Amino acid sequence: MTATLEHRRGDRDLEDRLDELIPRSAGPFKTLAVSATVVGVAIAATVLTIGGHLYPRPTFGSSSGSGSNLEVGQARDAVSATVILPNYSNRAVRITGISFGGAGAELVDVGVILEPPNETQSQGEPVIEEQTTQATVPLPRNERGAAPLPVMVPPDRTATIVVWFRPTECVDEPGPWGTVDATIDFGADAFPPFSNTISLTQDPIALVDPDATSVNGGDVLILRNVDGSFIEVSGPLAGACEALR
Amino acid sequence: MMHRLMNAVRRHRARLTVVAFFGILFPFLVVAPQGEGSRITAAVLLSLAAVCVLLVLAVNLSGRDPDAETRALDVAPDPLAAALFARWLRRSKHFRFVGGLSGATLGVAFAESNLTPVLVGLLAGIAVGGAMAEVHFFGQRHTSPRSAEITLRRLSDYVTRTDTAALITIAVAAFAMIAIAVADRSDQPKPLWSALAALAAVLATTGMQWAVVVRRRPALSVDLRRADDLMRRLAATQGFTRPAIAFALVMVSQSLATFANSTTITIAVIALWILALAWYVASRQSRRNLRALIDS
Repeated sequence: MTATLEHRRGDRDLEDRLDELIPRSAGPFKTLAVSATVVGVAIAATVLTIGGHLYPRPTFGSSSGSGSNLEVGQARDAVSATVILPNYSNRAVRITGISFGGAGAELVDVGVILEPPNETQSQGEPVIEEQTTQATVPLPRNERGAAPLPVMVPPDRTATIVVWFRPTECVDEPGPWGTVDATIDFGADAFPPFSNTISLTQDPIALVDPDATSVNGGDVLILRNVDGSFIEVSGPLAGACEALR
Repeated sequence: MMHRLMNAVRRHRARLTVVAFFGILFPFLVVAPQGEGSRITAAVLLSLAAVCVLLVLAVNLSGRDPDAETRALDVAPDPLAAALFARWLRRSKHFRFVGGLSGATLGVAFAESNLTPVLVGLLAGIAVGGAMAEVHFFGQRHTSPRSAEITLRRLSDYVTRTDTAALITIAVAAFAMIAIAVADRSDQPKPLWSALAALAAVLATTGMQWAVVVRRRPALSVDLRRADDLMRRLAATQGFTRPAIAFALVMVSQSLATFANSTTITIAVIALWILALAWYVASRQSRRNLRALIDS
């Protein structure tokens, strides 16, 4: 009995001495609760981030591309190209700015067309929604009604960004041409007030290929004139120069 | 009863993981194709798998490590050192597990089509968890009269030369990457941010090493002081330094990968990943690693 007590006292002394060097474990249930809370916070942050609730990331987990057609504006002063920005997140995002990177061209204007919801699209009834915005500058618009910025894009909707440009050169360099960066946030006074710039570079507006011969192969660009006729062009700059001449 | 169950789960976690794996796989591959009638079998198997996963997870999160004593006795020079080791092994392993799990989970949020963010998150989480295990502000009790040891302790007495050389090399490489990224004025932020992350990891690791080495120590008996020295040595190497080196190496490789697309760069990136894996393996609490560190 005495030996057991002494043994226990010895153990306690040892534990006390060790306590001064490294903290004693808090017990399995308390440790489990604290650890589960830490992991739970990480899971919550992950779910919120994936859903696009913490900062705008509408294209996460998806690919976006550009349209293959160019279109001459009604006033014959610019040519338009389109780039797709789908909102796959669970929160509406607002497109506040668009920058265009296309060598040999100057940006004239930008606009956004909010495509119809997927259900309507599958029924074959396209709905063109014009955004009510606070634009102060009158913008050139094509017949689909591209709205000026800023534009709210609800979840599961796709925005088609229309970029009007005017060529400053008429010779196309071989390779990819034309990328669009979209600056987005959650809207005025929305929380959190983070903005994000997405480079829609997965598919440039045009891939200039001097050896392209066939429209069926998808190698050449199609340009739609004001009168509704289509012409094949070898590159965006050459085509735009020809159409605006 | 509960402690016995937890210990049993901890000891048989590998078998339980295998059961969980097949419990998840079997319903999809074998049972489901057989039609409606097999739904109950599939549900039972999936439930079994879920129970296994939750049990293993719960036991790991509760910090139970019944093997810690055995591993400590294997490598410790005396019972006192073994008792101290067992505490450190349990604490460090638990913190690293929670950190790694949280980091990998956060990495999923950024893993669009590749696993790199998950692995980066895992390594960063393990390093942060290992470092947090060395923060003793909470839960430390003082029963004996306050005393302090005033022996001079140097970083080189606790950190291995290989780890120090790796940290210096990574810092130099990260500086070079930052300089190139700034001079390049590229639109891509990834090289700069990855290099900055590598540099931050090196600085934080060095700071944490100092914190561990100079952490106050009461006046102790010779045997306990020796055990404490060994524990600090383990903490400043395996605990957080090696996972941090692995993380920093991956960050350097990420920075390098975006600079240029050439065969040399590709080989360098692969080499950095292999080195990172080696450092991570060296940070694990295996008997071999512990023995190697104690003998060195």
